Amino acid sequence: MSLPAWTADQVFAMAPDPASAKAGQGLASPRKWVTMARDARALWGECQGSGSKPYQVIVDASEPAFRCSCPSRKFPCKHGLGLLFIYAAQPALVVETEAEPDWVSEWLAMRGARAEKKAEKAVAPPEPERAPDPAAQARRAAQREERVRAGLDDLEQWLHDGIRQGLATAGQRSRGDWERVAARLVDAQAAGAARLVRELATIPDSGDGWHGRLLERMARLQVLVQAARRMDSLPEPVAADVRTALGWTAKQEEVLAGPGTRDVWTVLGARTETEDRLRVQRTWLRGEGTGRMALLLAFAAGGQPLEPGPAPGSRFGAELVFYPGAHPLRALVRERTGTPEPVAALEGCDSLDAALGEWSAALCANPWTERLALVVRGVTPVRDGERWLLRDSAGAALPLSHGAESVGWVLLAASGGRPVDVAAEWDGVSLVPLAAVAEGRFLVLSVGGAS
Amino acid sequence: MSAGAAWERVVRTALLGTERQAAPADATTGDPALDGAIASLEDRSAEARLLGTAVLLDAWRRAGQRPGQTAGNPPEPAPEEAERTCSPLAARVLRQILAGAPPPVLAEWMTLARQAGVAPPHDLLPELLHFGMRHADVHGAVAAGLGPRGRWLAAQNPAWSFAAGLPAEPVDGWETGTVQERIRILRHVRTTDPAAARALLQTTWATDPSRDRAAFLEVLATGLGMDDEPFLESVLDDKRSKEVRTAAAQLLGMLPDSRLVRRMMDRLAPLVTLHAPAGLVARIRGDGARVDVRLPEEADKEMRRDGIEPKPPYGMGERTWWLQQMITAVPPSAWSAAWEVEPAACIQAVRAGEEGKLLVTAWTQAAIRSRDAVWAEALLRAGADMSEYRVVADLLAAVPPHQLEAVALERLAKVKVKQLHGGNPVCRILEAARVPWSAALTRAVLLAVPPTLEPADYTLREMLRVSAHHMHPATAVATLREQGDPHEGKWVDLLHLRHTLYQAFQ
Repeated sequence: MSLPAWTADQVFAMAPDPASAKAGQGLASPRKWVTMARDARALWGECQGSGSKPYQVIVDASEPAFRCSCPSRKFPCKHGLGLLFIYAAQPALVVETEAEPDWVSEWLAMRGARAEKKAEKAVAPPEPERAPDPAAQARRAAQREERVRAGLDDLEQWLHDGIRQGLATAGQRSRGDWERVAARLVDAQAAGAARLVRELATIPDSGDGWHGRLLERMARLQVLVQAARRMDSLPEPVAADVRTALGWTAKQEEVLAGPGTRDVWTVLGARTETEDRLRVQRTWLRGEGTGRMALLLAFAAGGQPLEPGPAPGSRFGAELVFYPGAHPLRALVRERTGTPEPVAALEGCDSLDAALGEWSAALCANPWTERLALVVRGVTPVRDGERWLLRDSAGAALPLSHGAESVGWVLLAASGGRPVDVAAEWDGVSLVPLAAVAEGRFLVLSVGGAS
Repeated sequence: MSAGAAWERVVRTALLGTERQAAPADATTGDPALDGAIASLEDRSAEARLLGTAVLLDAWRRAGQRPGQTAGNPPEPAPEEAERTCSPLAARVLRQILAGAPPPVLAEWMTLARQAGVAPPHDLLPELLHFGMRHADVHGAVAAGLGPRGRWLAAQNPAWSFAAGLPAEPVDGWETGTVQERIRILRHVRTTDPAAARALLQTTWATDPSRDRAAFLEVLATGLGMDDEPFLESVLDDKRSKEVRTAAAQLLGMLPDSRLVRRMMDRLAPLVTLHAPAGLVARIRGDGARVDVRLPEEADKEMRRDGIEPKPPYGMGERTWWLQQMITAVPPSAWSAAWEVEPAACIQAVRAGEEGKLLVTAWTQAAIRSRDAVWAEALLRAGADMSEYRVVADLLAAVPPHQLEAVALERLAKVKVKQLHGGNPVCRILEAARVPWSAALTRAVLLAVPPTLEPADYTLREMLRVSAHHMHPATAVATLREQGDPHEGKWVDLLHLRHTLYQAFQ
């Protein structure tokens, strides 16, 4: 078994921000490196920095995971990216060897041990002596529900006030007014609902037609309030969606204990956005056999590094466990069963209408679905005034987001004005392209760190 | 009524607020299931009913969303011409360049790609065109290296028209265009058919504004020949503009066989005289020769017609000024021809006389103006004022690169190893030598550079910064490595980037 091949596109997509991508390219020159080598498991190298001792960089190729002795808080750091850039463009420079240095083997062994422990913990039943007192647990849960109920009653009252006084008046509310309502929901342990309220606050500044958009969002909050009141009588998967929308996330350990889905997963792409000082990375996977879409989420607060997800444009065998819900999307990787390989084709719908059908199915099951990755084959990028459209062979079209201006040109360049296969994130209004296959080549269209 | 129209009504009601509008919005949609669900809200409060209706309509609309239909047809797709994409390494180097390398490196990449018969990766084309768009000096190289897909893409965006490979510029804007457009047209015609350009210029010469005419004459410097002489001679009598007359005189001064040069030499012959010992060999080498100079007595009407400005600049005597202009007005080759002495010997003989500095300055300007390679090289080897960067650059522009290298190498040979400093005139030559260097020159320079650069030696640093674009990259990288890579900085990074760039196209 040998290391998977990498493309520069994939390396770019791993960069936590454009500055790191640039710095990594600066290090993609052999002269900066004292040693560069690889074996079947990993790549490593020693990069001469400003200090006397070179930085030791290891890339575990299977995940990929990074380790570097430099003090950078970026993840992966420029050294890891630089090494991968060299490997992508000139693999021969990264010498193949049998002799793994100790510092490499030690780290890989440590990772292996940690992964095993995690897996054990996931399957092991909770230890009896640490099992919490069921009565106390029930009491705490009841308290929480009571607080949430009170918070949601406030929210509903506030929504109704808004409708009674009129949206025009609601639009004149100050930031502080919205923030007070959101803060009350955070106190009531409904952080998800609080986030929806904060989003409402930005709508009156969002240009023409804001009244309609504001009413839409208020309506969605209203459903949440009603659903939360009826939580006990809802079917379990729906109740799980309501809990998620409120902001009660299931524990990873509990999720990992659930049934898994084995498949070969294509990594469509990743997007990173900053929400309320928290960086959220969404990585979209599509199961080749099941046709299922899966969403991996990673979070990082403040300046903390984000753990990179699997590389866009690769496919790997794995068992995923989905978070419970009526239309499960969010998932965790329980176990990888193979080495990643590059992707050469995208499977998906053959028309935009069919792709929106998947969106409809997701919404019907879970009305709080905010985004879904769609894969559409045979679409052509078309310039329409100031924005881009993707047009299918039937002449149907969906717009790209306004932020995707430059991506539209890249799609046009790569397609030559002929149909290509595109994976994109859809939010009910516009598409943000993640990847495309044009003329047999997989293109990563989302750069990590761009929001 | 459709769900869309019902939604609009609900939004309108919500906009005003239920307290101002007693009647509930009519939200019937015609779909029995939906209407039934909306009707079931009837017993709620006005707010709850409106919000509940919004909930139902929003969910209905979102889940039932269909893509829109596009009007019209997409543009003609790109030609299906076979195109070889560059290697992954070349693509990576291109990305690195686009991430912020100096524009000339992009021009180098494009030129190498064109020579290798490969095109940039398609997905990098937009960034490439965007980068090229902002740097006019690389427009030509970018446009030439694009390949069919890139040209097609450039034609899709008006901002990228510089690279769209549009047909040659039309000539029919000559009478109506702006000055800039007219200059562009004239220049275009001049490079392909000099006589046609002159004829075009003459069609509107009588009526064009003087300032424009002077600018048009400058275009004629390209492809200048004796065909142009009669027209230019007639312009010396132009009644309307001194600027135009001066421009014509300058052009005539570039033609050794023009009547103006002949008249000027006739005036100069009694003023600038060579005294040489007898013997052919001595004559050619100029051994023991001396040039005597007499200043002109007056600047008469005829001299003024030939472009001599009577009033000297501040601080210069008028007779000195006249002589300097007269010498500048004729190609320096006229002297070596008249005296039958090589340029180097002419310079040597002049320096032996009293007005040496004056003559060398005038000859330098004359060599630049007439683009005389032999004289320019002789002046660079001996005589020209090396502290004037602009002058040196102009002289170098007249010298073919290989000769220029010979000049630089000769001067470098006198520099001790690792002892080069900014005070040495060779730095001026090297900085001005903006052509690809040979391996030999590259090595010689890097061996002469001290391992630690003086922080205050800005001239040397600037020379290295500029020259990193011109050095032979493989030799430069090898020479630096041999020395233990003593240097750091952008110029070293640039050399390594260019080295990788050339490797990528091997």
